[in-house]
Amino acid sequence: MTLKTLRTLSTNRRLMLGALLGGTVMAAGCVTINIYFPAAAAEKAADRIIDEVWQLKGGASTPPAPAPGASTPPAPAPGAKPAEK
Amino acid sequence: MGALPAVRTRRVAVAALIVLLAALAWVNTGRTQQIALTMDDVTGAGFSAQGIRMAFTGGGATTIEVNAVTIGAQSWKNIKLNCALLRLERTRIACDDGVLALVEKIPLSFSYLTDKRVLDLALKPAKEETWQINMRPGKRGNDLSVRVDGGSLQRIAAWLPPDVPKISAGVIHGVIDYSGDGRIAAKLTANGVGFADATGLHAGEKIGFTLDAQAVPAANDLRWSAALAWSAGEAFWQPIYLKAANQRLSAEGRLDAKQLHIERGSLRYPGIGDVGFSGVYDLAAKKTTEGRVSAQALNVPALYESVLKPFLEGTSLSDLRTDGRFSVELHMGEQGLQRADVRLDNVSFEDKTQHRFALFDINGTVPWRADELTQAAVTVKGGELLKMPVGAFAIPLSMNGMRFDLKQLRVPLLDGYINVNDFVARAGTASWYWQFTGALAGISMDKFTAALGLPVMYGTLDATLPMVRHIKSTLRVDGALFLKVFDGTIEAKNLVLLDVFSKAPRVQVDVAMRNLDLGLLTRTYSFGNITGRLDARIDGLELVNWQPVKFDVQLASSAGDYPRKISQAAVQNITALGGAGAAAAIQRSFLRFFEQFGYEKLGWGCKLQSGVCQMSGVDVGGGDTSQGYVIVKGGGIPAITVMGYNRQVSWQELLDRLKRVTQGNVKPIVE
Amino acid sequence: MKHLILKTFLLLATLLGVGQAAAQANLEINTPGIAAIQGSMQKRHAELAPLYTSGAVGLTRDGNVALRDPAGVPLAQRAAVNGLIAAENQDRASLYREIARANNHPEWEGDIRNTFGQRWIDRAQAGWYYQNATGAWVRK
Repeated sequence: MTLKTLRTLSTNRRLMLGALLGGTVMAAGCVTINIYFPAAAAEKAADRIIDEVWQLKGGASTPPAPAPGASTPPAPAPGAKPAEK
Repeated sequence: MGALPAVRTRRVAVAALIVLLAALAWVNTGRTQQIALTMDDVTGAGFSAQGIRMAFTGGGATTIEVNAVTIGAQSWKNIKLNCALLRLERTRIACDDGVLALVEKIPLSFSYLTDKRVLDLALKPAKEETWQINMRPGKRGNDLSVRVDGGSLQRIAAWLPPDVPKISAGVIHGVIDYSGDGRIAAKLTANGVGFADATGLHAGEKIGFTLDAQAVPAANDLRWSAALAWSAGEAFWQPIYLKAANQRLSAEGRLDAKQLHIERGSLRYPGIGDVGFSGVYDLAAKKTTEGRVSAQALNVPALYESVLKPFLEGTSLSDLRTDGRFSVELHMGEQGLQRADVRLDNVSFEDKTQHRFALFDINGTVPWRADELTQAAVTVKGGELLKMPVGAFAIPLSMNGMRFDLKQLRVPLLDGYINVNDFVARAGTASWYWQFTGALAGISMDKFTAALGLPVMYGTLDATLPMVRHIKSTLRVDGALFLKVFDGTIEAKNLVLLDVFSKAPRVQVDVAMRNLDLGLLTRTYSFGNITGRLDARIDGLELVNWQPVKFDVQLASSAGDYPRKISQAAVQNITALGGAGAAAAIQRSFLRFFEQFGYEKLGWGCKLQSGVCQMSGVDVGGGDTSQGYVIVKGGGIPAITVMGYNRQVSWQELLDRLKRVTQGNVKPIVE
Repeated sequence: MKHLILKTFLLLATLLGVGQAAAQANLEINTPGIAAIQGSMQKRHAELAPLYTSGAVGLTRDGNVALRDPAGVPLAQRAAVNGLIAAENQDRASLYREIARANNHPEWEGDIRNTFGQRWIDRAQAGWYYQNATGAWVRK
């Protein structure tokens, strides 16, 4: 969890005063203008890609990269079935 | 490069001579044996010697010391010449076993004939290395000859400017003659030359060459000629790698204070051909102000492999099989290239391993001018595009500087043709901008699909490309792209291709399909037969590397009156898409007794995002949809309604099921 | 006073951000674009690996690779190795851009590149070369 940038805070004193009075409203506004970079998630993603590119896990016999979407959590089947009328 | 040792050796000789003559002046008058002398500094053009001292010790032993000698940009400090026995004869002064202490100790011998004023000097800096200098009075001033045997090129390395690659090895042999009237002639052979710069982008190894060069002073300039033959070794000059193949470079011209003129130059490259060149190089501005290059009937495959290919690395042209002959005439002026005349003789090329494209027997001339409207006349006998045969066509290209126009190009493809109209390309500041309108017409779908390895479809392919524009690796199609297939129409709008030539090209498009004949469609994909008409709307379709990552698709029966039948096989297939269990249900039900069912409408929606498809069905107008959604709404007798219950499915999973369903026949269009 | 306000903001932002972080515990990397680039890089790795081992090619701080020791590559192969390096760096640039795009934050490209730059080095095999903070080559 990294707070990467926190912008436009000190730029507007009136905004801050307002923030003190109506904390939640302003806080919500504050979050929307912040840009978060999920460093831990990025590292995890980087490691997964590095594992694949450098074949670091499972030795040299590891098959090539899994098909796209393969690691998406299994989604329920459409489960279509005919209904008699 | 070969001229440098000559100059340097001459300077060394002159320096040595001055020192020596100064010594002689004293020796001639000095009669006593223990004497030490100090001389004034000696300076001349590009030369100076400071603090010269001489000491005669007993038995003829002599030492000459110089504090500092500067020749050109090089300088040495504390130079010492020791001569164990300086012979002083009536007309000859000689030293057989002297030692010159320069940077290293160099054994030296000399003899000077005082009456004939002939100096012979031999330096033996290493065991196999001799520099012999002979200086004698000529018609005008002194003539000088330098003979080098096993001369180390590394000695010269220090003399070269710092921005050229460093010489690390190499030996030269040969003779350099300099006449007092300014003539220079050099015949040199070099072996085992190695050079490299720090980045490793310019390097050579084990290079052998011979150089034969002459220069004769004229009224205001110097006439020169040189011939260089490259016999051994290899060189890498980013991005080109060349191996010695007895390439011969010869040139002649003149040199004055401002310009180097090459009047007749020629490069003979075995295997590729001959290239002639001439030009003027401005020494002060350090640029070519005029140049001409002319080459006739160069061998395209050899040219491509050794010269062109390295520049095309990473493009789709980097792995070609080529054939033919190529001729070119280039004229360069102060403003760069002024004219280029290219002639192609039966030039062919094809994508060697991927077979994406090929053009055979290209012939014609391209007379390009920097500021003149000209017309190229090029014909192509045939080719291949994505393994589909391309017929003969002509390219009537008109050129005006960096603007290229093609009014109409008609390329036969299969049994139809590709039309390119109003093609305009011009060089932008960073990349090329081009645009055209186009059409595909009369191409049989069965041949087209078979050639692309797709399920065979029938009908003809007609498409119009309203306006295609390419700016900075983004390809944009203005207006709608129109296709006629399956007896219906497909319209693609807002088509944009980003990073067209990258690993992951990105496509954005909105597609609308109308009135597709479901009979033709289901037969093509060997999905159970459905009779009817289908509309499809795909909004915000985004493909990366030609695979969908995002879209919102809605399929629905077309409006209108037409027969609506769905076969049992189709129903089974639709249910099979819902998973194995659902398919079994129909097997057990009484519905299996019927081959066909009627339906009122069918429809299915999928909103794909992050690999998950959010599904919906046909709008049945009110009704309870809380439990599921209707995919096929029954109508007529016997009727069937197919419901979907799960609203989410992994896109990949859905594709796998679709593949299984259509398996045993042909591949589905989506992979 | 100003400081306190800022702290309050940070706290609030952090608290609200936690929910966000939980929602995106993983970065989306399963897209066809990323898979294509990854596949291409994996294929190229077979050719690059011996160059890493020999020290001819090293890992740079900015998530790229570079020719470290040209003398370790025969002249005839130098153009090919330079081509390999250029292609690898092109793929890496596309990879960083695609990950940023796939997560609907194109502006993360630089951060992703930095993260990768560090992880490539952290995960490199012993004996490979990488650039340290001052840009000097270090053998791992």
